[in-house]
Amino acid sequence: MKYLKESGQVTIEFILTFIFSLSFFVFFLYYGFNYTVGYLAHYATFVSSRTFLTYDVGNRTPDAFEEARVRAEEEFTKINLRSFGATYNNIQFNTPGPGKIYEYTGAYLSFDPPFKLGLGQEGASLLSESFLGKEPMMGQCQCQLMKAMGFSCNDTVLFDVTLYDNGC
Amino acid sequence: MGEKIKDSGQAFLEYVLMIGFIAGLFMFFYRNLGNELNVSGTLIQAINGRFVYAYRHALDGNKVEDYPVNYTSPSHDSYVQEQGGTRFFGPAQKYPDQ
Repeated sequence: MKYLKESGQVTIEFILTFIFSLSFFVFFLYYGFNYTVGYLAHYATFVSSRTFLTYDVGNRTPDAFEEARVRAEEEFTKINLRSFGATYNNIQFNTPGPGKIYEYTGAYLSFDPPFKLGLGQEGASLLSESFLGKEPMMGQCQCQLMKAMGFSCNDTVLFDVTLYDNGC
Repeated sequence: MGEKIKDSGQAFLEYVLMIGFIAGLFMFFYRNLGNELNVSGTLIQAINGRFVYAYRHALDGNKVEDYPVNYTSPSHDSYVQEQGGTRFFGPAQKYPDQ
């Protein structure tokens, strides 16, 4: 009886097994790295948001939010996410205002992780948010107190005030 | 009888060629399978959807959300559950009256 030649079977099995093992390894490596960079992005967003939400120079003009945004961006750029392969434009901020939801005041960052696992398709954009709600600024509290006492309040003037958590 | 050709290094060369062949095959499947056969693409999409949702909300789910986000709606899965409950901590019982 004649048998088929079996030489090379081990090689083919090795190739198939090796490809499967490599895919398995690369898959978890990619996702592990994406998760790690994701955690770092969460931390960078939180740091930036905390700076934005607590920054106060004693006034209540819109400039205060702009100054807070600049300081928060400075804090955000200290953690260089791009060096870890994350792709993004810049961190965004929600400021309180008419028609806006107060709870969404803070920072958020949309970015692409270093490894796009869409197999040629568009990668998964991740969204990191840190909304804590901004405390009323000291200038704002001062104006409320002054108006309650019957005085006028000039919003554009800086005051050296020492009001802390007075319940206003 | 002719002189025998030296065959030292043959195993190494075969090994290198085989690894190259495997790497090429792997890259071929990695780049093309998702687009042309749409097998791994669907699988990866499902995993990515769950990854994106869980990353944003710290919740298990695969709901597809529109990006960029428009923060004008009060519904946000990070804060509000579907049943109307909240994810924030609060007292389980009312504080006793003094």
